[in-house]
Amino acid sequence: MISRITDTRLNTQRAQRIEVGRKKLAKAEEQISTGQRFQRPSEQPTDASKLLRHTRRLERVEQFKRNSENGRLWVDTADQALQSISREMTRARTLAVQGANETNGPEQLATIALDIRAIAESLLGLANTKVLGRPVFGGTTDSSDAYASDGSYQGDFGIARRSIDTGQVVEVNSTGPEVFGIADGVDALNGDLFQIINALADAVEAGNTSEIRRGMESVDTAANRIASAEGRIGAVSQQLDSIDDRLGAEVIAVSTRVSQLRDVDLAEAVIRLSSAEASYRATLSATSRGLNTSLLDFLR
Amino acid sequence: MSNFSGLSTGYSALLAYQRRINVVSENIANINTPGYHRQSVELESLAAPRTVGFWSGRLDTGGGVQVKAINRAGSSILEGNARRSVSVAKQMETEASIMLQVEDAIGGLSDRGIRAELDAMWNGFDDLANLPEDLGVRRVTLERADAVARSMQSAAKELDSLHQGQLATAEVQVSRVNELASSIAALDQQIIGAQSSGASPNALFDQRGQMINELSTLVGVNVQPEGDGQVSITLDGYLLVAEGRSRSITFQVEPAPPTDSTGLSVIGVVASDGRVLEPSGGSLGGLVHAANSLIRGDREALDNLAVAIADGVNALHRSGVGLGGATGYDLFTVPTGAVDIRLSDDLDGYPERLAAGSVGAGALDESNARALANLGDDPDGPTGAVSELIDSLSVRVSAASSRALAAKSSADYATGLADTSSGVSLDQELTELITAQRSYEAAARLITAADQMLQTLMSTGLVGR
Repeated sequence: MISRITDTRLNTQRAQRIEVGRKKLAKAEEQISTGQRFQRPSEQPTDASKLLRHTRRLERVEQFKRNSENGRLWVDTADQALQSISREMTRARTLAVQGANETNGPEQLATIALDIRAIAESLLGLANTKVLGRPVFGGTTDSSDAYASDGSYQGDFGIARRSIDTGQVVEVNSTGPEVFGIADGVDALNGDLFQIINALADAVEAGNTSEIRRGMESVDTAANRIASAEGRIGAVSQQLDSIDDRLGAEVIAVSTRVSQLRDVDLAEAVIRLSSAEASYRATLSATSRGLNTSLLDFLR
Repeated sequence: MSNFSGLSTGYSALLAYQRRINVVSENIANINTPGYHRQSVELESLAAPRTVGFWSGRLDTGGGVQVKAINRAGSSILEGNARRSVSVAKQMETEASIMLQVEDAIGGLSDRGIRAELDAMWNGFDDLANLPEDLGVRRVTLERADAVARSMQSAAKELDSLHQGQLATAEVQVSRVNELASSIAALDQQIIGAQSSGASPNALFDQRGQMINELSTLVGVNVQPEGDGQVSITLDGYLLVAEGRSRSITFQVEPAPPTDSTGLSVIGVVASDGRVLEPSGGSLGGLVHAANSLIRGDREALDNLAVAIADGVNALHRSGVGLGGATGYDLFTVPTGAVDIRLSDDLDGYPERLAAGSVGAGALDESNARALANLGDDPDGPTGAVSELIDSLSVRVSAASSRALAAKSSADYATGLADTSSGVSLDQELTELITAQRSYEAAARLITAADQMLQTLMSTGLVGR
């Protein structure tokens, strides 16, 4: 029931309409200049809640990617070391075959033995390969080398794991004894890789053909062990590949979702801005016309 | 009926229309005065003087016109309604603006808020798991934990200072309520005085209306007009103004009840008889509601969150091992709540003590750091609690904002409606002015006519010569 329209009411309503128009205009401008649909959660509680969850997941997935990259460093380092070790072992075996040839004189045997010992040295160096300062075959030890210069294992049997998703881990290391065998205090040829190669050198130097043959069998056993370690590492590497793919895909999917929730559709925002501007202009023009009109205009 | 009655009739009309023009000019002059109520002149015709004797019983005309009353426009029903809706709107607005500040303090979407710092800390533990031997990473991880503590502290402190501000504002408003109450009572006495001396109390009514309006924006009151022109005003059943006298209310700060973990004090608005009033409506109602209940829940949630973070992280951290076998240390310490959560003295400055490994495992074992990072993935853990806090807060803030908007528009409507009955319309006044002016001219013409008639009678005629 509106009986009369008073000037105060008219003016208040005008001011309110202009205010509403300004607010809409300001909101549209803010959306365009910030590029975001809302600035505070309470503007869109449901979307904000989803946005927070997705943002969190995005940050988490990016962390999982970093974890898997760190794991890949371990796996790749170990893989390269093992490939070099395999090559060295093939050379040691070839030398041992030469040493087993009974036509060799003591001098030749000594030379061959020297070569084999050099290989043992190089193998020890490779077994001490480091990843970011840590021995890759040393388990979770804090000593700088996995194997001391006398060939004794200094590491532990700790497993390095990396989180690659909520509650999922990958084991990224193999410890020295797993890869190179366990040292044997009594029978060196039954011991770890370094004992075997050194014992093989001893056998060649002594020209002990039967020991050389036993040594060659031990080298083959050790090579098998390394091959299976390589296989294991290869499997982890493939697993990391597929994890990277999956995490990469998830980053894209979640980023898209985050963008949909957070970012303004520019075309839509510009349309909203134009329509806010148009309605604001219309309000102003209507108001300015009404403001100037009264009975006074028509009285003499 | 004398020959001169035409003159006096015309004279009465001149007086009446002059009054009417005066009232119109008063209306136009006050067109923008807040609280001004349009006045109008009510005319009535004068009865013919009673004459006894020879002429009685003859048909006779009346005795002219007179001003019966100067009426004050407006509807007390509409105005009461407008006052109540303004009062409610003011409370909603106060609450909504406080809730918005609470939301800012918690900082849901901000990348420096509690949520962001907490997520950064969980991810930091994963970085630690990747490089447990790296002191630089350890330092960064410790800094992230520190940032979590600091963000909680600053949120809690912001809420506390918000609460302090509410207390201070409420105190000022309570004293303003008392001032208004005594001014209204004083006006009531003047109104009675004006009425008994026959003066028009309309301007006093306007002033009092304005004061009651201001009182309503401060606190919801019940206004009861009395028959003699005075009002009685009650606040939550407590008689604030009656019969030209006022009583005061006092502002008290009471300590938090012992069951309340936040330690935030409580606003008490107390009547002179010692009763604790529950003001509702107006900005004071909003402040009291916000300070005594709205803000406490979130403050308490912050405290619980601080304890949940510290307990969850500490339990894992104590069981783990840092570099060099350091074990059994807490990462966080929470002496009282969110306001003073910080890194424990055992860890602050000792990044090597961050327990990345598990007991019995290798020196550079990372399993405990991973367990800490996984704590962040636990939906029932601190992450869930912080999401819940932000979600529930944003829903409540949004609801408060829309309630405030709805209350504002209904208050605007009610105020506008009240104004339609009490306000001044320029066009109407101009019409009135012209009508009165024309009537005045006509009355003047009447006097001229009577004058001419008398001249005819006395100078130009032959009678009496």
